[in-house]
Amino acid sequence: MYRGRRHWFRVLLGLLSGLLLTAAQPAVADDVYLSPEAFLEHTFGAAVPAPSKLWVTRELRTAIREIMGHDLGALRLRYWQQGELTAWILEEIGKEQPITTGLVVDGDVLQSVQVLIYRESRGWEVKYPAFTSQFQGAGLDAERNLDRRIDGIAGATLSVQALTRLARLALLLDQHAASAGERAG
Amino acid sequence: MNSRWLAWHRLAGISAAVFVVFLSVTGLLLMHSDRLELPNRQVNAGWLLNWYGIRPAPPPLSFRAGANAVSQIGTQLYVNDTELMQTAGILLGAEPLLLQEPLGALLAVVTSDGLMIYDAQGQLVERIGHAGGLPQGLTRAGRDLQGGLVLGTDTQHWRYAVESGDFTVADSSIPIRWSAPAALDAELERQLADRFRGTGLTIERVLLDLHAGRLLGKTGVVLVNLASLLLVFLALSGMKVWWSRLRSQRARRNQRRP
Repeated sequence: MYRGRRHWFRVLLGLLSGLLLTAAQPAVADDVYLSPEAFLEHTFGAAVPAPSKLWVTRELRTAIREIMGHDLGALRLRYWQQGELTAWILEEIGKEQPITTGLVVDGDVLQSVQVLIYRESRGWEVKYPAFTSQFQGAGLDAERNLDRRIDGIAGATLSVQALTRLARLALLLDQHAASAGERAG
Repeated sequence: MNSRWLAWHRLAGISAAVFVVFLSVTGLLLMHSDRLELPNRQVNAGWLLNWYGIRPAPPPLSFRAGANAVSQIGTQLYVNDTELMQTAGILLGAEPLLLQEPLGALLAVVTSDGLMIYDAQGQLVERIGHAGGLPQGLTRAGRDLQGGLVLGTDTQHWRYAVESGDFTVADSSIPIRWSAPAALDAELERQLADRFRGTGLTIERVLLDLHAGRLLGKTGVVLVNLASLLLVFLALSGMKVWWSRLRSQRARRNQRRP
């Protein structure tokens, strides 16, 4: 029995040593699911409109802070408009890295949300339409929250929260771009 | 039969002990990660940085823009000793711009895939990529005689009007003072090299990878899986030994009864 156990222990040690010796280095990489240019072509077709500009005024900055919990980091934003449709390419950090997201607003509701570039080590499940399709048709209520509940994903909480903030932000920016003739760009 | 189970149970216990202590310690540290400020603590150990494939910083590419030095090391952009942002492009130049108030003094940083305009306080005014109208195939950046920002490929020039945010094709025959790479102060270069190598790898990241076994790549994940199976076996074999002892104790008690 003891001889058998010693043998088993040696096998285990050998296995562990072998695994350690063949250890691979951890990999870190950006995942580009859709380039910003491809997102715009997908939204508007071949004739992508020229970008319009939106200055971040003091009033808008305050509203952005309420939604994002921080400043946007830029004083002028670019967006693309065709009729009632506006497209926004925005970034927000999930845990450590920015998630580049394409958002399309039609009228005053979201038409689509797409993760373009994901850089976090986990939480990438937010790229799936099963999650992003929840934003379709969502608008802002009086408190600038989404007018519907967005179901989270276990293990991707911070990415879900980041995308939800971006959805609210895109709707807010669309409202501001629509008002006071800002869309003239 | 019972002694054989007990022997295997002991072996599994000894084998799993290392993993249990290891997972418990890393798990406890992660639970108190924020209190210990582990997400903000950078790893400086050379061997660990090597293990993650984070090599010593390559030589910086630098341009002078007035009193500022704008540099790129790897994918990181810096103005003086401050991090600006990550870029997948190549730094083509940096130019100081002087506009009428309220814009005032600005700094333009041009890469092959982006144009960033900063105000005098270092606040990003805007960032423009190809989707936002930045011309493709840029190879250089500079200023015309009026001080306006000019971007160029080998054959074509564009003038960027900061006030309107529009690019217009410029006359290629107009003289341009193009940005040229400049040597960086040795002390600043050393600071940037140290900062670049430590950026992005925090103690929390390492602990997370240790806890999940990912620090050893797929091998580590296999090890953690094996440890989990050992713990399952330990629980089952422990129950089996306990149940067998209980039965034998009951049997002995029954035998003693008259």
